[in-house]
Amino acid sequence: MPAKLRVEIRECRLVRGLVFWLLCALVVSYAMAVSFLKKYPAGCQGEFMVWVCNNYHVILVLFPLLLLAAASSAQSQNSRYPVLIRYRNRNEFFSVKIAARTGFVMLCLLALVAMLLFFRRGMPVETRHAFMVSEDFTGIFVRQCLNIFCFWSALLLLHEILQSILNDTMLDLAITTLVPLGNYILAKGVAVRALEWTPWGKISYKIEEILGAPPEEVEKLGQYQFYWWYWLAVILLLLFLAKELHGKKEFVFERTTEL
Amino acid sequence: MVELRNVSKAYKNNVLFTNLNLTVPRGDICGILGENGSGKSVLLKMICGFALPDAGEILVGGEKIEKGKFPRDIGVILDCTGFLPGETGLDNLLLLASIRGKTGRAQVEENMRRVGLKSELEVKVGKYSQGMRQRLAIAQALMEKPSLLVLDEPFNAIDIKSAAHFRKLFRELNEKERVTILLTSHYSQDVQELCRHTYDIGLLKAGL
Repeated sequence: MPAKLRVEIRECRLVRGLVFWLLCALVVSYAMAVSFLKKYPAGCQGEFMVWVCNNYHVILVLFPLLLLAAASSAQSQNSRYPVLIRYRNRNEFFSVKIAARTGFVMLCLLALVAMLLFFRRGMPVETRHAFMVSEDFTGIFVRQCLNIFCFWSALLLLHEILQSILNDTMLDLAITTLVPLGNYILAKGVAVRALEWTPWGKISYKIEEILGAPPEEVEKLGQYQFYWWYWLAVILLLLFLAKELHGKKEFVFERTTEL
Repeated sequence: MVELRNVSKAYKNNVLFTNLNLTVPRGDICGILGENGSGKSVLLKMICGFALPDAGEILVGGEKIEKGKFPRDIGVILDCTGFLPGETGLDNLLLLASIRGKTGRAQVEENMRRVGLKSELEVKVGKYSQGMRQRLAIAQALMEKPSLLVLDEPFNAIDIKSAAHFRKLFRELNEKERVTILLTSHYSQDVQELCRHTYDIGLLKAGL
């Protein structure tokens, strides 16, 4: 298994993807630190971390796009036949592929967190409640990170499903990105209430509420949760669909698109 | 070694085969001739487990290719060579060899020399010509000493002199190591010079 994982990481250029990601995270984290201090000059380190998680246009739209672009295999699955034929069966190939990508997603999230920790150094540790009343910064941040990890993992599985159906990496990437983009547009627009009941909606919707609300109303922060039951159901369903479709996939003719 | 029993396959609303039967005995060299788009590649991909037959069964080495399973002990060349352009030819093959762990660096290097890539061991695949990539694909198919070789247009992009060298190499593998070879081509010369049995895909489809 480690040899297969190593091959998958090399074949899909995940190390290169991680470097690309780190550069993006560096720029975005710096821009966020500047932006946060401009809005909340008295903001503390904990508030900054929560505020970043709340910037859903970056976390839920920009980063998934970058993540998917980096994790998409540079080669079509069809042209990877020398690898494929060395596996016992399709399930084994699928498992290794998903394991490598999930690890990649986790590393990407950790890299982003590391960047944020680096850029918050100049901010005060003690809170003056410039941005929020609650002081449970770590709890909120961890719960949001878990939600984001599950959200990104779900998008990767969706990407995998579309790849089995469409056989076109670029089109697949575009459609997958439309999901968080649609979520963002709906959350920003009139359909906020329609999304409010879903965790995907809650992640983005709550934020809008928090940013626009005076500090005393932000006690609703207690509603930040890790929606494990929802994510478990969504991820298991997507995993099942992805595996079934991969089992039926025809590795015959596929549009090859270099990313 | 390879047996197709009443295999039917349609791809994108095109019926490619209906009740196709083919038997390739162990130790044979069998060629399939046909025009572009006649279904030769799909036939080979079904034997490799990359495409699934709509009906019928495929047996390789006596084992039925069940849904999702890949045949064991097989070397394959298909229409596109999936090598990493940023890695050297040697590294590409070593990476592939690490999956099964059946072959080591010495054998990989030996196979690269065998296909005429001795001086390109450390050259990145991105700098290889099309012909050199095809040679690397042949080395990839041979390196684990498979008992069955499935070759889709193996002499594509290879010059006439080198094609003659590879025909000789395949014949030697067949005679000395009893490797069964199934290949396709749209050039009858390739097939007639190398194969003991030749089939026309059109006649196979017609059940003749």
